[in-house]
Amino acid sequence: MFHDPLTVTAIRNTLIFVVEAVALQFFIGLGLALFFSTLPLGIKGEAMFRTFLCIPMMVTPVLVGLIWRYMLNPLYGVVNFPLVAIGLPSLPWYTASSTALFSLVIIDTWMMTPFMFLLLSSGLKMISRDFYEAAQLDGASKWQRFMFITMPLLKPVIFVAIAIRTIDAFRLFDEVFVLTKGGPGSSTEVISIHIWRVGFKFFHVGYAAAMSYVILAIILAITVFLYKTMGAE
Amino acid sequence: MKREMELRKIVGTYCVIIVLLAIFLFPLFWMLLTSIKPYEATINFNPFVSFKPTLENYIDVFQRWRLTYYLKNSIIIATFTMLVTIILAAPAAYVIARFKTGGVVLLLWIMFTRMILPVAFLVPLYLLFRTLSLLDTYPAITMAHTVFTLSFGIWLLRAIFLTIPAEIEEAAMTDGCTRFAALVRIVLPLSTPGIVAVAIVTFAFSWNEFILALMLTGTKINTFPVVASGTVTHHRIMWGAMSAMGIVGVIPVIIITLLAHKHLLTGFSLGTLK
Repeated sequence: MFHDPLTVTAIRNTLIFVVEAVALQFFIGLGLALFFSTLPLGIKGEAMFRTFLCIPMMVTPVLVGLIWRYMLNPLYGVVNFPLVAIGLPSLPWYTASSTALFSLVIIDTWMMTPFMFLLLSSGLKMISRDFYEAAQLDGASKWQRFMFITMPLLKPVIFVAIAIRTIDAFRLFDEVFVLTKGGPGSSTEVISIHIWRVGFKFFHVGYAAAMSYVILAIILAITVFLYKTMGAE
Repeated sequence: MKREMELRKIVGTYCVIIVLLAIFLFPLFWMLLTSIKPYEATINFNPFVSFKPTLENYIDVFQRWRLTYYLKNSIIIATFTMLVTIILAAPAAYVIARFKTGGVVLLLWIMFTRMILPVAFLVPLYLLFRTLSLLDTYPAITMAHTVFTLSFGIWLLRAIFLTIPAEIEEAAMTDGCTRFAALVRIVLPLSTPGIVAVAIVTFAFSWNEFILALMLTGTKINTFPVVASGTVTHHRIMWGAMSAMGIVGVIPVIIITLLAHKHLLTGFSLGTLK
């Protein structure tokens, strides 16, 4: 298995995808959660805004892949249109091997950032106001309050959010299947697609099963690593 | 002066919120717009070209693509997956929560099934259902989906059951209630939010699931995501038909999101935050 260059590529692509997507989703999600937790008084309809923000994560992944395939189309996609209009070159997105994997990261980020937002928001809500008031009395700055109160108390939730997203990001399949099927070349050959190709196109069933176990071991190792480094309960 | 600053802050915040919502909802808006475009307008290099709104994509999707038939399949499969998951997960979660059945090992094992890639189950399930002549039938897809939703349901309901004090059941049992009746009459009604969460996530999973539904069905009982992926052909992609199908298929999940927003969190966090 480890002598098969395509398998190694698939594992590498998957790891790159997981790290980029989870990191992006975490930072955007945290930013959104902090923004919504510190809304100034007098903002109406906060609950409604939060609900609307959560819609993308419920949309059928196949359709997410298809609608982005349309929107990122190099010829008539709506995303490239403003770029061309202001004189920039049209980006190839999923049709070039250099940008294909990152296009998937963008699509997954659009879809799953709401999940991070939902989890981190609920974590922020559980932190008692008293801590902040006490810190404010002691003269702590906004940044200090964030670093020394919010982050430590949010740690268990951050662990759960990152762990669940990491596990789920490894399962990426539907979007790739309708967007690129692993191409161009092998630039988006993620592990699920690879196992599917080996098992159902080439019928190396045992080989596909063996790969599944290796991936399970990798996911387990990552979860244990996260658990140890973040020291959550 | 201070009032004015506050007002400015509020207006600014509203603007930020609207921009954020616009970004996150734009793909869905674009889907809606594409679904009422004639084919020529969907492949015009200027995506904002003016066009005559048409319903022909929707008519096409319901007549030529027979969408109603696939939606019916999806509804049947998702509903059964939901019911089977709850019926099986509730007693399992109950014994694990109350009697520590299987100990930590069983709990972790249940967690592992969530980590395994769905494609890894494809081969064994395919061979199994072929032997049983169950390929392309409702029970096969329902069972395949339940494999994934069950672990999740057990894990979540266990977390919910742990928050219910055992004294309540014990009191009921000293009054002559059996253990099973205590579960059905006392524990389950007390854990309604958790059951709703399991129901939503299970239904949404089954509704959205693609790879198992694709590989374990032939032509008879394809579900909605499978037929949506069929709009991609070698010659061209029917963007209009795809979008019309998308809008029809996304409506149920959007309704669920709007109605049950509060339960989504419990559902997606696996009850681990409790």
